[in-house]
Formats: sequence, C-alpha cells, structure tokens
Amino acid sequence: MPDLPVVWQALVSGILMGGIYALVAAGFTLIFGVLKIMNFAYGEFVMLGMYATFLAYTLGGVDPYLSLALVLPAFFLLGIVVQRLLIDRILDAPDDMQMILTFGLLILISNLALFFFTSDLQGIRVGYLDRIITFGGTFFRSSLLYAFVWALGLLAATYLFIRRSRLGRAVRATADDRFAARVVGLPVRAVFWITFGLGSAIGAASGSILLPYLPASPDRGFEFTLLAIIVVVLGGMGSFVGALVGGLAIGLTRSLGQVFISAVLSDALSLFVVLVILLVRPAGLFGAKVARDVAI
Amino acid sequence: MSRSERAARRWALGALAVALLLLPLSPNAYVVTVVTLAAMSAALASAWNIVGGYAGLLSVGDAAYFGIGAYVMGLLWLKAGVSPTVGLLLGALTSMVFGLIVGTLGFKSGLRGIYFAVATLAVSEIVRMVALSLDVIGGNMGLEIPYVSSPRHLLFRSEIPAYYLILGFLALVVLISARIRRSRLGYVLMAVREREAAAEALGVDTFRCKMTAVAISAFLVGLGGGLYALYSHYLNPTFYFSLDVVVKMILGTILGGKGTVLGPVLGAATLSGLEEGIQFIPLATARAASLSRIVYAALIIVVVLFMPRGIVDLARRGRWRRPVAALDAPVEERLTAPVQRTTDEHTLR
Repeated sequence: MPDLPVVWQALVSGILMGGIYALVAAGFTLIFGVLKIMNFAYGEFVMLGMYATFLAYTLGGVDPYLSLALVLPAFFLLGIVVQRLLIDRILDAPDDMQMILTFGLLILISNLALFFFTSDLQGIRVGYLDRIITFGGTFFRSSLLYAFVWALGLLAATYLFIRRSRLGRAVRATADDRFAARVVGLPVRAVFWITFGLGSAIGAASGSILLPYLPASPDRGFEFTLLAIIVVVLGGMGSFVGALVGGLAIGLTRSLGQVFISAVLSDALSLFVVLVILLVRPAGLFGAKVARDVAI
Repeated sequence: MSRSERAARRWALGALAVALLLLPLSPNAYVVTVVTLAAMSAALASAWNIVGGYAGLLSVGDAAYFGIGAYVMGLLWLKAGVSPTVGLLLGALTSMVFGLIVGTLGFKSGLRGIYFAVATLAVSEIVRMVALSLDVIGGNMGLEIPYVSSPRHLLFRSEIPAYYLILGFLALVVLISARIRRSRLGYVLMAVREREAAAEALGVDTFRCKMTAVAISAFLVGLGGGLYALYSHYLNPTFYFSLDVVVKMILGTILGGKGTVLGPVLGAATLSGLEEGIQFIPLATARAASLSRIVYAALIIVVVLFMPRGIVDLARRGRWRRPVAALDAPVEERLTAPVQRTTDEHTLR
C-alpha cells in the first residue's frame, strides 16, 4: 500500500495533467458537437502542434508559449483547408465512410511526421521550464505548472468565445440544429470551416504547451485521439464543461492508477469506465440530452 | 446475370483456383508469401463484411477476436500441449463467445453507428492493454511458436502447407459469406442496415440475427488469428490487437464493395498487393516504410471520396460512379434543397 505523500503527489500531478487533458479534449468535442464527426485524426494535430513548437524553438529560438502566436493561426488555417478539401465532402456520408476517412488522415499525417522527423523523441529544454517546483510536500517540473495555467487560460478563452461572441452563438446554433440554423440565415458552411479550424488550432495549441513537458514523437497522435474520446465520452459528447470535468477525472485516474496498479492498466480501467458509460448513459455524465444516434 | 456470363465467371474462378493451387511450384518463394498475406486479408475482410457490410454495424473491435483466436491457440499449445488442430477451434470458439458478450452489451443497450464503433474500439483496446501487461502470456515481448515439423499438429517448417491452410480458410469464409448473402439471415441483416425499426415492426427478431452474424464473424476472425499465428510462428499484442488489423479489414471491404460477396476479397487482396508493391519503389532510405504508408493512406482518402461504392460497383457499371448523390452538392445547397412532397399530400389538400 503506497503511503499518503505518494498519493498526495499523485493527486496534485493528476489535477495538473487533467487540466491539459481537458484542453486536448476541448477541440475534439467542439468538432464533434458541431459537425457530428468523430475525427480520429484529431490527435495528429496535437502531435503536429508539438513539432511546430519544437521547430520554432530549435530553428528560431522562439519561446514555446510565444510560438502559440504562430501555431494558433497556422493550424486554424490548416484546419479550414482540411475541412474544405476532405470533411466537407463526407458530412452526409455513412458513419463508416467518415470514420475510415479520418483514419486515412491519421495514417497519412503520422507517417508524414515519421518521414520528416524520424521516430526519435524530440524534446526541448528551456531554463525556466526545467526547474523543480515544490508545493505542499509535492514536487513537479515547472513546465507542467505552466502548461496547466496555459491550458486553463485557453479553455477560458474558448469558452468565452463560444458563450459570449456572436460567432460563438452561430456555432452553438449550428451545433443544435444545422438545418434550422440555415433557415434563419446563418452561413452554416462557414461555421463548419471556422469550427474545424478552431478545433484543430486548440488541438495543436495543447500540443505546443505540452512540448516542454513531454517530448514529441510521430506515433503520439492516436494516444491523444484515444484520450480525447475517453474524456469526451465521460463528460458528454459535445459538452464543453464535460470536457473539463472529464479531463480532470482522467488525469486523476491515470496518475492514481500509476501508483496503485500500472500505467497501462489504469488506461485500460479508464476505457472500461468509458465502456460502461456508453452502455448505461450514452450522453455522458454532463451531456444535456441523449445524442441523436443512440437508441430510438 | 445471363447464363453465359455465369459460365464465364465459373471458368474464371476455376482458373484462378488452379493457379493458386499450383502457385507454390513457382521458383519465386516471395510470390507465395505475398499471396498468403493477400489471402489472409481477403478472408478477414470477408468475415468483417458479414457484420460491417451486410448488417452495416460498424464494428471496430475485430482485432480483439483476431488476437484472442491466436493467443488461445498459441497458449494452449505452448503451455498445455493442446494440439493446434484442437486449439484453432477452441480459439475461434473463445472469440465467438467474446463476440457474443460484446454483441449482447452493445445491442441490448441500443448503441448504433459511431457509438457502437467507439464501444467496440474500447473493448479491443482494453484487451490489448491487458495483454500487454500480462507477463504470463509474454507481455510486450510476445511469444514464439517454435519451428517444429509435426503435420498432425498443423505445424510445419515450410511456408507452403500454411499457404494451403490459409487458402482453404479463404474458401471457407467466402462460401459462408455467399450462403449468408442469399439466406433469410442475410436478408434480415440487410434490412437491419437499411431500416431496423421497419424490420422489427414486421416481427423479425433483429437482435437474434445480429447476434448470429456477430458470432459467425467473430468465430471466423478468431480462426484467422489462429491460422496467422501458425503461419508466422509469432504472437505479440502490438500486432495482433492493433487497430491496423481492423482498419485493413474495413478498408479492404470498402475498397472492394461493402455488402457484396466478392468485394471484400477483391478489395483486401488489392490493398495487400499494393502494400507489398509500394515497397519496391526504389528508395534507398530507411524512410521507404513511412513513404509506403503515406501512399496507402492517400489511397484510403481517395477511395472514400471518389469511389465509396468500391471496385465491384465500378466493374458492374463500367464507369466511375459519382459519390453518393447528395454528397456532391455543396453543403449550402443540400441544406436548402426543397423537401420532396409526396403525391398523397397534394391529393389530401
């Protein structure tokens, strides 16, 4: 039985990781909520965000958080391009076509990354991000605390955008009912572009802020997709608050699981919880209503 | 299909069968390897098609059936000395039982579409993670099935008997799939795909039919896993339970033509051949592997966007079919398209 300080340590680092997981899941849930597409290639954007920040730092000495000024617009545009070229065409296609297309995208992007960056782990070491911080008997790397704060900041910004801005309201209306949104004159197609761009940018940003803590590698993408699916099913598909709560829950499960069982088995455990939730309460813990595709 | 066409098809199939049976006479051993792998993916895709194609249930957990079939057979042989002849069957039965459990949970709780996909994906990932962390079954390192010659136990040093076993397996799967397609079960499954509620309203026990389909499919995929383990003499969780296995099944089916008998065979064999072929593009770098995957992925995207009905449909029509009609129109037009009125509505007014 692990002693109390170890558990306390796991709790603190679990919450810190959980905040970052929430941001990872936020982009995924946004895309799912509005487009009703389960984007299996989502994690690849997180992975690409890591590499973008890595390149900005190694080539231009750009501070990892400053690189967000580059990463956010770049991946917003990339997302729009992907939406226009690919996703737009399969919005009405059957589920399996949508799934296999995003799987194709997943394999494509991860192998492009493998081609250009090789399979070596690529991390960065920045002075102020490499300190050890102690807090109430626990200790963790400063990069984790910075990433947590940035994740919460970006989450808050996205939340405000969705809740308070006119464009955000259009996004919510489209998520609710795209046909009705069109009827009242919303440019639904543009909303789709913006949503996919925004979701991709959030994913890439979560990769950027993670990089000082976690080195990049081309095969990380699917881990992030799986993580996003777990968090989002837990919190409720398309629910923003659910992503935050789900992220924290999974962060805690993982770090406590590492202490009590093992890293792999704790992941299996969270997947098991996901399975149970899918079977019992498909709308997730915070989903407002049962998703339309479930049951009759 | 006219009588002459049917005869021509029979002759073509016969010629293909003879060519496949005589293939090991070829001096090039590599050809046999390529065809073995192609036949294995073709059989697996056909087995997936029974659930994914006929019934349209998006199962993404088939890697679990594949791995379970392989591991049960391998472990019984390595740890308990149970002959693989029996082990193959036991492995396939275990996969079937596992499939029935997954099916019961999924269908009883009414999961559909992408939710069914996520649930099955979760199941297979759980199985993979558990297999990874169980040292008893070799953990991450996997298990090796030693090369001994013992035909009674279906173990051979040479590749060729395994080639015939896998060909036989392919024939079995295709026969079963063809039988189902023309049976009552097949029609019910297709009805489930098109409109399940309507089938139920007619008094069809769709649950039982879906369970039968899952049982058959899981059994066959499990059998395939065992045969593949006998062929490769190696078991490891990262390959057998990987998403790659199931993506290949789904993609092969879609490329060939979902819900047809020959589609999955054609599609998966083509895909498998392409994958091997791409490796011959001369590239003197260690990056050739990732390049071949890039081409593979690009192919997936092109197929989904431009020929969603697959090769069989293409061959039947002799021309490219435009993607599902509604998909062509830009989103805005689709959203504003007038609702079709039925004549009833007019007469009623």
